[in-house]
Amino acid sequence: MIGGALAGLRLVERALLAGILLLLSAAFILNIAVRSLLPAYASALAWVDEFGVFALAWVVFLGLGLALERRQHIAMTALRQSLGPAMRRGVVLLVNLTGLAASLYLAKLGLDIAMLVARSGQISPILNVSMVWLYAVVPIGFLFLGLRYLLALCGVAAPAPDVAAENHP
Amino acid sequence: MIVVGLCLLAAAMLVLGFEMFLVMGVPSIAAKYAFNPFMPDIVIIQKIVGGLGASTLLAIPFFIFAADLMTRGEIARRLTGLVKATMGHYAGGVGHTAVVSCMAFGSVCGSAPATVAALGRLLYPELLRAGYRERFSLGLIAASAECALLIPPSITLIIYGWLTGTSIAALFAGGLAVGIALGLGFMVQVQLETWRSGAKPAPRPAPGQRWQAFVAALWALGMPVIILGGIYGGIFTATEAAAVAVGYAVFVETVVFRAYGLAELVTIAERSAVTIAVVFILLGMGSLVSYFITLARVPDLLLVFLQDNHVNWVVFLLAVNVVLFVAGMFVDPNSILLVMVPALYPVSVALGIDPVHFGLVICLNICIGMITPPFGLDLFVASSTLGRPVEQIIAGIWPFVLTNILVLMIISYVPAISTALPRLLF
Repeated sequence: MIGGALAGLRLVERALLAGILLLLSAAFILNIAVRSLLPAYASALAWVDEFGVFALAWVVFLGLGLALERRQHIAMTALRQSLGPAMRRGVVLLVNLTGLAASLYLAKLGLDIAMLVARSGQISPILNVSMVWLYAVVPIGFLFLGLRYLLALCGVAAPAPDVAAENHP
Repeated sequence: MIVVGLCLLAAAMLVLGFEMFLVMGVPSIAAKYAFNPFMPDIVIIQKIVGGLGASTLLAIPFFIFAADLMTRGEIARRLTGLVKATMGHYAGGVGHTAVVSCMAFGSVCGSAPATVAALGRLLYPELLRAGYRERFSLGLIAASAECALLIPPSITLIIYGWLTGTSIAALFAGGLAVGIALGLGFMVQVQLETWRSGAKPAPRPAPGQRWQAFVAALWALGMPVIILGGIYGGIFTATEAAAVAVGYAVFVETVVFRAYGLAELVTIAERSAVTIAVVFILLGMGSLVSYFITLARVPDLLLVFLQDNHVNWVVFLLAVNVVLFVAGMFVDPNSILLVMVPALYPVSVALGIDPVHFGLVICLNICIGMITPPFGLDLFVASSTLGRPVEQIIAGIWPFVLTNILVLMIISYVPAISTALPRLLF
């Protein structure tokens, strides 16, 4: 049951991440193409830069949980590896507890700011959409991250053992 | 007292292996409560999200995506093939091919670890076959990849430009000169090692083979032309050039080279997105750290201290180099950049150091941090890419660290190397 729900969550995260990044790339390329080839229509795509900020926020916060699950977040764990098994377990527990608490705290602050923006009715200047779209992903992203820390605490996923991630720039 | 406590907290979290965004974020949140308890809590989220909102930074996701598209495709292999056909048969040619291939791939990719991942498996067997010692070959690959961080496009220089408001195009021009200087340093080292080990060059290419390699690499060569030509021709901003690089990489790899199809493209996009999240959460937390560093007037205090002790730019740069070298041994380079630059940059300006020159000194230190044990990221990527124990790579890296330090000293005290090209162009 939990395994199925997790697999579903992963699928949604992966689909959204790939979709948003591809859409973001396509929007910028389209913008440059239109500006170069059909300059008269360039102003019709003035929304692209603002869309870029929104899309980037979605990619960043939605990717946090998957990055933790895949052990891609940067962490210097060499010293921890040299500790005895009992000490190491203690440190891992501390890391995961802190991660869970920080994630939940930041998710709560993210929700606060999203509600505040919703109440204020703040609209983005060019896209003309509610600024909630920018902030809504913050609590979602930190909740997904907190979920991964919780799973690690329950022993469902192991904490990060390595510094390196091949994809990291 | 509280400041010391917060620094100790960050240090303890670092050595205990907390994720870097927690190492940066948790002490910053604590600083907010300790020094600014009446500030609304949501400032924390505003600063994190605000850190992602700069349009300059949008170049980074595109360059990460483009690098992943090329790493898993044909562009890296074809560029290496052309370099080998051009110079592989000269004395030390296989070693030089490794350095120049990394520089060539660096001109389309802004990431050192991505360069190790893309080129490591192509270059390593060739170096061994030519007769270079295993240790030297491993060190050469991990070190040469650093050139990718300097030769434009460079993710590190984009972050520095964003942090300090320095022109990305000027930084890229300076990075080109410094990247070539570092590459030349490694080539001197290759030549010495070639004489020492008697490594053989590659066979002279048959007539027409060089032309074939050039034709095969033609599409790959279009990439640096688009990126650099677009930026310096005034056609694109750095962000737009990065987006065009993605479009070009997708077109070349899927349509021209048919390296992969749509399903693989989506998988690459998803992996790149997770990498982007890893980098940008650090940038977001870096904004938070930088905000509290500024509120605490750290740059002002540092400047007063330096002025009281009559420290000039020469001593300041020496101190910066020593501090960053030591920090680079233990801390992730991007995190160092995000924490140190907001404190050091205003001081460097006050001491009359050119922002491009200072940026290149910082970037070269970041490069060195990529290969210095025990935590150099390139060492671990080379280890996982080449399937060799990290200890073996560390054993081979020291001569390259020395070359790096030598080049760093030259770049630090001959500012013209960093600033001449930007001044010529702008």
